[in-house]
Amino acid sequence: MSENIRILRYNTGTDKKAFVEFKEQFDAVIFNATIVAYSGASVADLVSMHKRRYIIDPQTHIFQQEFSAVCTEDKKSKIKSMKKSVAKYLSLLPNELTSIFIEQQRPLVPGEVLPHADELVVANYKFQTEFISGFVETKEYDKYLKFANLKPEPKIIIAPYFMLKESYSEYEINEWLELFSICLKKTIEYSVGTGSEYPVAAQLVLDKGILQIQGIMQKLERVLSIPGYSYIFLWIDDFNAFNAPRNTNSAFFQLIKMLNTCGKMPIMAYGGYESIILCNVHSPARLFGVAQSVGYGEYRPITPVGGGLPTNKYYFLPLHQRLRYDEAAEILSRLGYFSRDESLAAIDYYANICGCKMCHEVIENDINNFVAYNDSIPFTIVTKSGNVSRNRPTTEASLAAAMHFLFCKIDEWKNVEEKEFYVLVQELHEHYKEYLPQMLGAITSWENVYEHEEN
Amino acid sequence: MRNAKITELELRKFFVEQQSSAEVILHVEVPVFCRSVDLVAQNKKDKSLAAIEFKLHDWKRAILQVQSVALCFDYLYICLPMPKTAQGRESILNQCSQNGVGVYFYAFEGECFEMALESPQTSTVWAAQKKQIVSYLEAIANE
Repeated sequence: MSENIRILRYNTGTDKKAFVEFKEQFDAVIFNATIVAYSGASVADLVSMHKRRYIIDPQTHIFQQEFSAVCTEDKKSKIKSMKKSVAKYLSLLPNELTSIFIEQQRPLVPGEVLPHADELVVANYKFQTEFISGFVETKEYDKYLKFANLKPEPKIIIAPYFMLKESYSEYEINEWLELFSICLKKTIEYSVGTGSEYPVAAQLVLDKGILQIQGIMQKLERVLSIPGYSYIFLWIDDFNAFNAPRNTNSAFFQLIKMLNTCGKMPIMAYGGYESIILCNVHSPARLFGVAQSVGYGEYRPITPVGGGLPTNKYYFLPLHQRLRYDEAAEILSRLGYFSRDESLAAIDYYANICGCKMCHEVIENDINNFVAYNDSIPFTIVTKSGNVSRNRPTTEASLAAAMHFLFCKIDEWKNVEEKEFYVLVQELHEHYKEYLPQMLGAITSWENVYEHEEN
Repeated sequence: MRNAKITELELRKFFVEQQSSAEVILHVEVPVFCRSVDLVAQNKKDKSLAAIEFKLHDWKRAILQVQSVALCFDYLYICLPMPKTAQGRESILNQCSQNGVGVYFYAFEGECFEMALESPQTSTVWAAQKKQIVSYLEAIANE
């Protein structure tokens, strides 16, 4: 049995159809604490019916964010107020902390959190172990779940964590690390004290630049190498390993290697294929799991930015990268897929690009049906300089793209479990050379970090 | 009308006023992929489609923009104010020629458009994708 944990991240109700379809292919579902707090009843339904092993990201880094980062603006009145989901979640955490954040509308400093670390640890632990089951107990199906011993349970409990920001001074970084360490130790102690069998995990969230600070690895090792836990979730702000500078990738490599040496099992909290490939048993710096969403799985910024207008996307499996539909179509066009016999081109497509169930349903025996991934609805935006027309994907096209993406992920996990690391790297290299040569340099730079170390 | 005051929207408006004909229907703001094309010229006779991007300054960006929809169109054009120097004109025409993009220049003096470079027929047009655009144009024509 694989040691890797394949985690599906559940964001909104629109993810449900794809989530239900693929639930058996993943080991656990992860929710953000704010979603759980706000939609407890529907989350309880979802985990009870479909995926009984769940993880909750406690998002305690919220206390470090600017108040405006958790606010939303009412479209009509233009009045900004805290997001309801955040307000609901914060109401379940120690009042001494939330009152500073809400009333003074500013980030907290470590000295303000430290005196309440015990309360924070307990509140966080109880939220992850009891909040969902509290809703389940009010449901009709609770008796059945109890009888069949199928009650939903946490797969892992994540200790409260704090982000290391590039803007922090060395003193501030040390203080936050100290607090991180205290909360992790206290969570382990609390878990042992309650006789719980759920493994405790840490979560390390940081800006990319933090990895470049001299001596940071030693500091992280001191904090993270403590006994009593194995899993550590990693979230590096907006970090795309396949397109990162060599020094960032080298630092990331050193981080993983250090964790492995300490006997820890890092899991990428938001990862694409650049993380899945590192779950290969022969990877010189090994990850032990990746969490990804229904519609995307790549790197992600910690402070969310506006997503912009929705566009048709297509996951280009040989590149393990989600492209805009037109970018994907342009590659296929360049390789002559649309200028030869449509039926033979479809066969070639299944052999070379993707042979997943969704692609077979969409394309059938005519490559021209690939155009269905671009099904869209035109709409008009009124701007200062006049009306602008745009397309947005139809619900059907979005769902088809999401299903295709998840089939691709299953394929990726299968390959990573079965093939040698060097074969996976070689294939990646060849595919970039063939389909997206302009990015081959970036891929080669990534390869060099891992191949050099492997040898 | 003077260069300093003209906007891209006005440039396009003048083009539509001058270039419309019974044979060639002009459609503004046609959504294609994740963006919209400034102007689409639909030739009713030979069933061809041309995409035209209007720019006052950044003509290199106009080339990239129009090329990004090459899968859907038989001809690609950019339309710009007439460059002030012969060297500027040559530079634009060379780049466009190398990239398979045609050029219209707008002359402020005569307030008229000149097709300075004819677009070659694209080799990349994909019938299925072009059909999506034609369907959209037919749908808005019937509204």
